[in-house]
Amino acid sequence: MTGLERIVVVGASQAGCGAASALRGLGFDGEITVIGDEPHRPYTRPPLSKGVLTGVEPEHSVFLPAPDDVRLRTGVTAVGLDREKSAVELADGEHLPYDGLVIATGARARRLGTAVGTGVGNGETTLRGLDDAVGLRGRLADSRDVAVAGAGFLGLEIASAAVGLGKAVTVVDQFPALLGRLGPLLADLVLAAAAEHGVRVSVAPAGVRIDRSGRLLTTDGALLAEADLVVTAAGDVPNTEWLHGSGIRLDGGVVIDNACRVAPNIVAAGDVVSAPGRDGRMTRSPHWWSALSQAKIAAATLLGREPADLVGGRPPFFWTEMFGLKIRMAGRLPPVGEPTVLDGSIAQRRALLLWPGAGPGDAFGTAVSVNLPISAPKLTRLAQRSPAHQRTL
Amino acid sequence: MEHAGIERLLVDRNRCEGYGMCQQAAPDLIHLDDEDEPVIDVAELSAAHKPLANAAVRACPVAALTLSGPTAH
Repeated sequence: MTGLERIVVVGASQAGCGAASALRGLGFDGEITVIGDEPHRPYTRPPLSKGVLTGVEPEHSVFLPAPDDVRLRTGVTAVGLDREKSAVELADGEHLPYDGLVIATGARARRLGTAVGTGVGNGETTLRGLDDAVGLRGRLADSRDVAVAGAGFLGLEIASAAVGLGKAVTVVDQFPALLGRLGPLLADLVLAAAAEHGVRVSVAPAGVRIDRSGRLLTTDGALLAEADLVVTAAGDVPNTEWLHGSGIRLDGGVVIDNACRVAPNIVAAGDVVSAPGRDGRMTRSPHWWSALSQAKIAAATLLGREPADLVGGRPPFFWTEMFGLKIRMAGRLPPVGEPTVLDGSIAQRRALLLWPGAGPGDAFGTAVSVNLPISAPKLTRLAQRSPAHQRTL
Repeated sequence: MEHAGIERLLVDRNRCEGYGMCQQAAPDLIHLDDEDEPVIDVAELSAAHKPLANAAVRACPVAALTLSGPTAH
C-alpha cells in the first residue's frame, strides 16, 4: 500500500482510538500502537459532565471497547518527537519508532489560577477527564454553595448537574453566557431555564480570577460569589508542548490542512488540532464530533487514500443537556438571524428550528432541535438544505 | 455469559435517544428506521466487522450501544 508498517497513535481518546479503528477499517494490517497518558483504558467524555456527574450513570459505563489488533499502552506520556529518527520519545526514555504518526494528544482544562508555578493552579477544580468527574462528584456531595467560572456548554452543564443535586449555584463569565456559541435566541432560552432552576448567571466584563484561597474574584479583587466549591470551566489548552522543537507547525494547536495532514507521514485529529477557518485564520473546534470525523479523515490521509470528507466539508454536530433542555445542533454556530420554526414552538421549548447560512459562500446553515428527538443525520441534512427549499420538508 | 467467539451489537433501548451516530459510523451494520430507532442489520459480527462495530460503539453519545461477547469490557 504505502509502505507503512508501524503506525503510532499518540493519544488514547476519541480521536486516537477512532483513528486506530479507521486504519483497520481501511485495511491497514501493520502494527498500530496507541499510547495514552491516563491510567485508564479509553473512555468517552461527553457523559462526564452529564450523567456521571449527577450519579445517574456509573462511571464504568464510559469505557469503550479496545480497538482490535492494536497495542494499547496506558499510563505512557509522550515528551518529544524526533522526526529525523521517526520516533516518539516517551517519559521513561524509550524511543518508539514509527513509519506513520497520528497526533491526537487532545487538550487539558484551562486554569484561571494566577500563581503559575506555585501549584495553586493545580489545586483548581476542573472537569476534563474521568478522574476529574469522579472527584468533582465527590466534592459536590460535600458542598452547599457552588460557583462555576465559565458559562460555556461545560460550565452550564456542571451548573445544571449541581443545581439538580440541590446546590445553590452561581455561574460567572467574562462574556454573556453562550451568546457567542448559540446566538441570542437560544442563549436566552437557556438563561431563562437556568433562572427557573434558581441558578444565578452573571457577567464580569473585566474577567474573573481565583485567589490563593480558592475564592472567585473579579480581576480587580471583588468577591463574585460565596462558595465552598469553585469549579473552573474556562475552555481548554491543546497538549502540544511535547512537539516543541520538532518543527511541527503550531498555531493555537497542531496545524492541519483540510485532510488532517501535518507533514509527510504525520496526521493529527481531535482537540489538539488547529485548522484553517473560513476566513483563513487558524481555528480550533475542540468538540466530540470534530474528533470523530477528523479521526476518519486522518486515517485515510495517512494511508494515502482520498478521505470521504474534508475538514469543514460537512455540518458539525453538537448537543447539550442543561436545565431540562436537550438541545441538538448541526451546522454553523452561532446561527445568525431569525430561524424558521419547522415544528413545535420556541415558547413551549419544544421546537425544530432552521437558520439559513450567514453568507453567500455558506454551504450549510444551522438546524437546531430543542427537546425534540431527531437524529444527527436528519438534523445534518436539514442544515445542508438551502433555505429556499425549507418548505419542501 | 460466554458465547464462544460470537459478538453482537446490543442497543439499550432505554438509553438510546436516536442520535443516529452509530449509523454514520457503521452504515453496513446499523441503520435507523423511520422513527430514528437503530436497527442492527448484522446479528453476528465477524472479525472483519469489528473495527466498524467498535467505531459505532464509540460514536454513541449516550453509551447506549455495547458489544456483547468475550471481549466486552
